Amino acid sequence: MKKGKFLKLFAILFGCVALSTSFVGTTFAKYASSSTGSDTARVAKWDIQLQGANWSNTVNFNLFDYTDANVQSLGSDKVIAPGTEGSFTFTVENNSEVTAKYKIDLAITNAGNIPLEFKVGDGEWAAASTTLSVVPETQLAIGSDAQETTVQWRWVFEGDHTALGTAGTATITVAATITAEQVN
Amino acid sequence: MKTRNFSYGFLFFRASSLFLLFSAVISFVIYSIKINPYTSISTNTFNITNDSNLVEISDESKVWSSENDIEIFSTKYSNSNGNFVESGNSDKVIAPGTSGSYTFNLKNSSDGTIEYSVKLNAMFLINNQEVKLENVPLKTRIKSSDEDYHLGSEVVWASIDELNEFLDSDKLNQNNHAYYTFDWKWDLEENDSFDTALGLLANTQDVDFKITISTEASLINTNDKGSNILVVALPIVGIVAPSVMVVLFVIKNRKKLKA
Repeated sequence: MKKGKFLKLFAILFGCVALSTSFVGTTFAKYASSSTGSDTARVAKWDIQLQGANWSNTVNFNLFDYTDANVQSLGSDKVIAPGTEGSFTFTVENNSEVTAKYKIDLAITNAGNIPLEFKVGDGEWAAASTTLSVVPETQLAIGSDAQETTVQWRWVFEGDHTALGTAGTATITVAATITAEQVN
Repeated sequence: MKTRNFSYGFLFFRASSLFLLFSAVISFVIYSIKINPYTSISTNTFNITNDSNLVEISDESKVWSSENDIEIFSTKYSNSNGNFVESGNSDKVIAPGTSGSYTFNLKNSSDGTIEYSVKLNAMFLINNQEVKLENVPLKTRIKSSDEDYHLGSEVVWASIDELNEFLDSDKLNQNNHAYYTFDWKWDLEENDSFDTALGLLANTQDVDFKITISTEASLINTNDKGSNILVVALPIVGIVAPSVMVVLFVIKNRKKLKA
């Protein structure tokens, strides 16, 4: 009986050794290799500076801020009169890591036909129209210097403007639109 | 007078058991040493290392090691008008309108047939944290050495999300090659609002895009006949040996019962 039990035990143990050997042999004897390659890029900056500050959807466009000792508003409204003049300088700078283009346009609403004239940079004086292109589409290279463009306005003193002054109700509104986008 | 009940069957049983045990142990030792030259035996563990000579991966500038910095992106991108995207420092950058291509080659440098797999992964990171972005206007396609596109086509580009589902596997015979070309592009006009938002965010945060290529290879058949024989013989021994023993044991016991 003892011998029988011993043989049974021996048979079971040997079976386990042989069976596990077959799996161990094939498991450990397996060549394998792995490799990885990777690359990382930073998203390029889009940074157009307007009037020396980060781009904003609105900008203070103080075209009719001027000083004339002979003209003064009695309220909070900005006023213009014959002989007054003023200007505004746009400053645009491309601090991006991409090439950009920009343009500046003025939309003029002058229902009262106030006889203002406008001049862009070193151009000629011209009567106000409904639109004025201050800067046509212009490329801004990466790292280029800030671009300045000055718009001037004036109400020529000569002439009879009494009717407008008597009414004192005519207004003129000038809206500036600056657009910038990346170019290829 | 005592007589010994001598059974030739039982003698055969014991002899064959000892022989099979001896064979199994010797086979395992020989097989492990022969096939795993990098195996070192410490007190009670086996250390298995990768076989760097199994497959050689390379691109136009170098042969890969286990982890590699590769050149998928660039610090600047040019066209006929000059540089239209350029990094402000030494970082590689991407932007709308940029594109690139990367080709890598796999060569079976083992002494047999290998099975390999290639997987790609793309991710955006903000300040080194992975983020999931929707409607990313980055596109990709992948072509292999048989000129078939595995992702996208000559005229159709796949989304960057599909890149993360890309997995290709195949077999390579000894000294044979396979190469893959991975193309990418960021469309200039596809999603202005997404592009602008990301570009503005890049002014104040680290916004990165990372591509990872992972390869795995394993030897499935060696030209070394001795090793092949052992690969076949050892499992047979391991399965047949206990089966034979069980059969002999049952036969022996049945004879006893009949007697």
